[in-house]
Amino acid sequence: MRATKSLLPLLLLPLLLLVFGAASSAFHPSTPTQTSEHYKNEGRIRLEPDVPEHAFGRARHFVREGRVTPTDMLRLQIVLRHDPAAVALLEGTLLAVSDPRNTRYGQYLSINDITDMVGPDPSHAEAVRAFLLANGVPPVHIEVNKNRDIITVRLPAMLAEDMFETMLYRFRHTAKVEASFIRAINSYSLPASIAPLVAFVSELIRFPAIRDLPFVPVPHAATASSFSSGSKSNDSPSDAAFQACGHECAGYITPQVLSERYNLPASLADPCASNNSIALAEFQFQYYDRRDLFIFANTCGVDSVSVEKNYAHNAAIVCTRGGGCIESLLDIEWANVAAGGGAIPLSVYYSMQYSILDWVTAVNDNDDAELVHSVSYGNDELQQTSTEYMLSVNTEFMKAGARGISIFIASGDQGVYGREGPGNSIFHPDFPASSPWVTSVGGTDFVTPSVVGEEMAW
Amino acid sequence: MLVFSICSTRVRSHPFFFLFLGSYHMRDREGSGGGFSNTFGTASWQAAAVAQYKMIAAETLPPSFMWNATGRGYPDLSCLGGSGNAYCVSAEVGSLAGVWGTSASTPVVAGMFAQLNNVRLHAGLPPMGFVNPFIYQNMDCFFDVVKGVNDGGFNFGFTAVEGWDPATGVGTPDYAKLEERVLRV
Repeated sequence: MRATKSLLPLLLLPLLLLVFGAASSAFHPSTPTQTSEHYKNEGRIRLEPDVPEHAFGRARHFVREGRVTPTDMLRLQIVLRHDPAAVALLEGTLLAVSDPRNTRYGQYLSINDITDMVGPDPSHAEAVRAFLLANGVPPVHIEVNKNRDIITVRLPAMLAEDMFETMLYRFRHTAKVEASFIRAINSYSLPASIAPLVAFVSELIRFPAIRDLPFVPVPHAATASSFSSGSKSNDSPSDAAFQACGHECAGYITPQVLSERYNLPASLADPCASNNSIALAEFQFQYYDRRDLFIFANTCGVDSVSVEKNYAHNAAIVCTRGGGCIESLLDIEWANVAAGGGAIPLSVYYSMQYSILDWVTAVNDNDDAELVHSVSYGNDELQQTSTEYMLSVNTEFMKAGARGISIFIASGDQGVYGREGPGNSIFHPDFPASSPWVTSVGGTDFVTPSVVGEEMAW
Repeated sequence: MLVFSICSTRVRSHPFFFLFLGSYHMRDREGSGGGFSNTFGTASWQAAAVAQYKMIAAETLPPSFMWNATGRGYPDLSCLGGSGNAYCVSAEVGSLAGVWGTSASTPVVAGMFAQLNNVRLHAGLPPMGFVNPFIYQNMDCFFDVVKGVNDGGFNFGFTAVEGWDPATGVGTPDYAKLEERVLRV
């Protein structure tokens, strides 16, 4: 019944998209396409060659604005190729040091060990650096990471157009309008002298998945009924544990619910080890304010809810002006609860680039990287644009694992069909949740809502 | 990967909202992500669990053209996070809200493993690192989830069965058992 009812809009959608597609191509000048002959004559090589021309500059929920201007700046990561044999060695090492049945279990590598194992020859990063310098990028805007495989560069967008022979436009998210990105509308290339050293350039063609959540709900008091979706269960919860955060949160999960169901203590059995730590990755213009952390700790009776360290800037002001910091606050509040009532120091990494690669390279370059990382970010594998990208991100996950770092990734909230939905009748797996080198976390419900007991798939 | 109690509102504000009217309820499109990768093959540390799933769940498997039977299966484990009972969160300077989604499950699981690391570090052992081989070798330390399906409200999905499944992984953590086990590996 449900399936047949949903057929009508699914049939209409392609029609609509066709109309909109035709309209948008009429508004924009046609994109010049470069032939392979052109690349040969010009002594250039196209990167990520498997990406079809029609995929550039197109992403669901993003609209194209104007061409980049002289004041637009870009921050790009140029990812170098690894020797496949070296990556295979890293994979074997990771499997050995992570397998409790292996004699090498727990014998993790240092950043230097990893550089020795997979780092490209120093001449590769040097050649890319020389190319950037020759194009007028100041040395202070070029940074090579410790593993010598990623060069982060800050440069004017118009200079990037020349260097990569591409056209850059500004794009804006239709729902989260503060999210705007500069992206290419056609393929990009590098001179043949350095192109073979480079796997791809991040943040040039890929669009992030952004949730369209414009505001924060207040489910209590008078507003509750107008938001009613029939799915809330804060009326007459039957277990006392569901009342532990006070009547406004009655029926919601409390620290006591986790404690009862998972046999999870509210505080650490032993003092926190000096080298123990946990970190959260935040991508969605999501910040936190101490007042909410304090109120949560008080309301739910948690020893301490705090952040020890921020990587990049926390803009607390956003949260107190209706900026929607709920995702970050959820992460911080509940990671503190589960990590012994705030006994384990917690850090937050901000990635303004909305990029999983940007985040993981920051972790991998950090000598004091936290031991456990929680990441609620993903997109369908099909939306990742190129396999080169997913393989490079995988290599970064392997490096983290080989150092003894645990990465937990949310498995997504749209069931098997993913963000693309059931339109083409196949499932859409999520990346990075589907990466073999992370721990993917799904969600459950109690079989009987508001009764601590058996769980079921959500 | 975060859902609020405003689904109906969100549908109404969608530019094509009229398409959704009378079609399906917003909540029906939710569900825990899971399945098999189209890009990466079944991982070595999960091969036995995945093979067992395909045998046990043979009767309930979706049509084979919809998914990649040789892919990496996910999730690896799960934790409360569905819409049945949202998590209490303080946001917007003290306004309490209910939030659900695997975005809620993930920091909770991460926090539990940080506690398990503490148990090991305190005993002079190295941290747990990449935990998947450990998880699949110690499935008895998790509450097996054997009900439900992650079809997101549509016609097909993967059913939770005994052992690992691509809806709930190996199940949800039993911290007391894990705390003992991590000292014995």
